[in-house]
Amino acid sequence: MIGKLYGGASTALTRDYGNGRTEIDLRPEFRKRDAPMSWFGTSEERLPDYTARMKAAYGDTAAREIMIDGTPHVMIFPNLFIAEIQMFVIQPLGVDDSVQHVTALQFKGAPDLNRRLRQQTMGSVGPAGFLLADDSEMYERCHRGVLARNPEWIFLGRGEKRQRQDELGFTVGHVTDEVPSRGIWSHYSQADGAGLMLSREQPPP
Amino acid sequence: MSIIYDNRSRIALRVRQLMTGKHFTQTPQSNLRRLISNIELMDEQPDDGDIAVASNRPDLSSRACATTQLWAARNEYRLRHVDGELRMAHKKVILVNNDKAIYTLSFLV
Repeated sequence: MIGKLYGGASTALTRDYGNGRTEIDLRPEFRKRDAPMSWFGTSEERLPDYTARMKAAYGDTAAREIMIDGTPHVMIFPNLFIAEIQMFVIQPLGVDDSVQHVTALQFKGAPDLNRRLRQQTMGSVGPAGFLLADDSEMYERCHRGVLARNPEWIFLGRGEKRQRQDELGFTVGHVTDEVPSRGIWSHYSQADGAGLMLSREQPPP
Repeated sequence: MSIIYDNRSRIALRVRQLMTGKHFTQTPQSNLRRLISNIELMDEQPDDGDIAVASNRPDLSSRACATTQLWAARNEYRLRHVDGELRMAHKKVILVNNDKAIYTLSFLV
């Protein structure tokens, strides 16, 4: 299921809010499914208490929209990551060494939802996570790639030709495109004390 | 919060993930050497007929582009007689460094 969200045919988006804040917006795919709590791999029927409290708090229509759209997948510069069911704070120890602190999101008055939030957090992230172990491996492989001086350039241009502005004026691109990378590095390159030069020229052939 | 909190179905999912060939932390696979020692039958036994056993274990793991790592833990087990065989009903692995940041733990500990 997660493969389709991040595949070539997905209608999900990447978005650059500016100031180094970026997100992956999966709502177009969740809205296509039109099934409350499908974003969380479950259903209203399996979370009756949470569903009832949402409807009481927001009314049926708004509750349904919220339960279809799901939670954000957003990186807030410089080191906060709201990752749908969990939160990360990334603590840099060096250019190639950082600690990921992570915990499950927990909502007041929603013990049934919270139980699943903890179970899915433990399954997806942390050193043995189904998702994060391989993510971390790829980060470390990127470190090794960055250290290599041949080729000299790192190309972050994926999707440059098909990015556009959304209805609020933010830059969006396909879910597989490098809109967030460009957004973060553009902001970082302008930050006070940034020891980084980014080139907008074409890389040498 | 546990680093791994698996029921039997989730353990099976881990094996399936490994078998896809796309589990990048295990491409190539770790070289592992497991040692188990200090095996004890616990003084306090559960009421339900299960057998409580514990052991110490250091595992040595070598992954591509990582230094050889030593993972040390205390294991607590519940064993159960099923159809004349001793089977494992529960296993808890308490890493000695579980209060610190740890590196990727991509083998089944």
